[in-house]
Amino acid sequence: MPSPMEIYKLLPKTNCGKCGEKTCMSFAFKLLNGEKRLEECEPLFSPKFEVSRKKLEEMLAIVEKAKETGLIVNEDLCTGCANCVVSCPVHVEKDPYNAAMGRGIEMEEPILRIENGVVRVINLSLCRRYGKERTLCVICRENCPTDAISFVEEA
Amino acid sequence: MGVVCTACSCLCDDIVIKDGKIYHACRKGCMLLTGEREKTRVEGGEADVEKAVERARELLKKPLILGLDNVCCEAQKAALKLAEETGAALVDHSLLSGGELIMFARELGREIEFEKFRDEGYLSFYWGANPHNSLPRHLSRFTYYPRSGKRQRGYEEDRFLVVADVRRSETAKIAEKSKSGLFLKVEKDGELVDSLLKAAEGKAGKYVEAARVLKEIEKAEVNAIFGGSGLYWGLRDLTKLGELVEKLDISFVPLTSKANMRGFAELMMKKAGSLCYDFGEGREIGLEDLPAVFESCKSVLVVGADPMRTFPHSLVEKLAGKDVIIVNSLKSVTSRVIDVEVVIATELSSFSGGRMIRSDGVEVEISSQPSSQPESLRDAEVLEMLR
Repeated sequence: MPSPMEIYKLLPKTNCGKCGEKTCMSFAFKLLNGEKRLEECEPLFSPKFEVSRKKLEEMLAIVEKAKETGLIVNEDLCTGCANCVVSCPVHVEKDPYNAAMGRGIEMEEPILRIENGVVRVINLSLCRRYGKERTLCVICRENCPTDAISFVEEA
Repeated sequence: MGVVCTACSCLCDDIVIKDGKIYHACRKGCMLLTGEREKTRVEGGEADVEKAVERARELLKKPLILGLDNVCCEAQKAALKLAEETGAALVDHSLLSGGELIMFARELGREIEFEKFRDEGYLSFYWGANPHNSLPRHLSRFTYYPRSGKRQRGYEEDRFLVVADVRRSETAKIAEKSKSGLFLKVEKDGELVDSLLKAAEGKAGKYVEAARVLKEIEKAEVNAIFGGSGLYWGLRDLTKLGELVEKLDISFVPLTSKANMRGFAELMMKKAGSLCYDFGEGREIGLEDLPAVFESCKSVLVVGADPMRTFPHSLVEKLAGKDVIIVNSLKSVTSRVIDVEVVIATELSSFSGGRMIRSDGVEVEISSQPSSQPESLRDAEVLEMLR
């Protein structure tokens, strides 16, 4: 996962403001959060910055996969231990006799569920990181021993 | 009741198979449930079971019966009878991993059922074990994460995790990251035992964290050490560990990854008085006897195992040139690499049903399930046919 500084270093660093942001650093942060797209940086598409642009496209490919809450699940690293499913506070509240107790989750449309041996994102609208009252909950990530779960802004 | 996964000794009974998807099983469980199935073969060509059994019976002379930790108690019982009748040596994985800890736990009598620990347990102490690999759902189903019974406030307040290991395993990473966890990187397990015993007497040992472990133990009545094979190989002599468990007044549960190693150990202790036994020679088999046992057998019957993957090379190389018969559900490295005379395909225990004993000593009934291979026989049925 790239950091905002790594992205910034590849931007034109002219603070031209054409993207709508006051500084290139601010643009770098928003690129990572998925709020801005590379195409909004006009100077980057001049031949002078072609190498940098290509590097940025590669770096940001992973961000494209991020969900609305910034959640990224790397299924290749997941072993299906279900620590994330069982420790999720929303699951604990909504499925107290199954997921909360360590059994397979049975609530309709959970946030995460173990399918075919790995965790799958099912319904992010229930995630505490989503919506107006959102909080920066990182419990699923904290309890993943293989780093299969990460969040965009923590890069 | 869902399908029971027999990939490890968690024996998870909440697995759902629906519309081509497997729900709640870990990656290890999925590998088992969806693994490539064996086909009954005689000398490389596909054959029916009757022909395969007939050929196998011809070959079973002073055999070594190997494996058995992943099949049901019924199959283990049938293998024992077959061993008695043919004078076979009966060997599972317990001498290499887990067996001594099972014996230790049985003698100590301080085991606790996983469900009771889930409902009441506070401190779970994984010692020489990395359940993230061996029993992937152990923490989420039974120890650290569940909110159940008297433990409703979640892992940060109502549980404490201690991991003692020589390396920073995945389970150790959880303990290291958590506020309610502690990772002890241990060089010599004996020194940690000493430190904990000293801490119990108010003295300081090599591991200063021992005092914190004891402080956490005092917070609740139900605490347990879950000992993995690393603990046995680190200590060899478990006497002081027994003293420690008694002194701290906590439970001890052996963590064996093989689904029914406990069942086999219980059966063998009852019938033969030891974990592995040579019925031809009429004597107990110890770890040091394994090379001679592998060398001297004329044929090998592998039941529900993959010795090329799970036994040391120094042992399995001795099987070269012997008549090898495999009774198994899934294709294995052994059946691919070794020149196998007979393969008899059986149904997975998760679908055929039977009984298994979890590593905490609890018997789990596996109900039979609709299968994609309804024509396959159970392991126990095939072993009965071989008698």
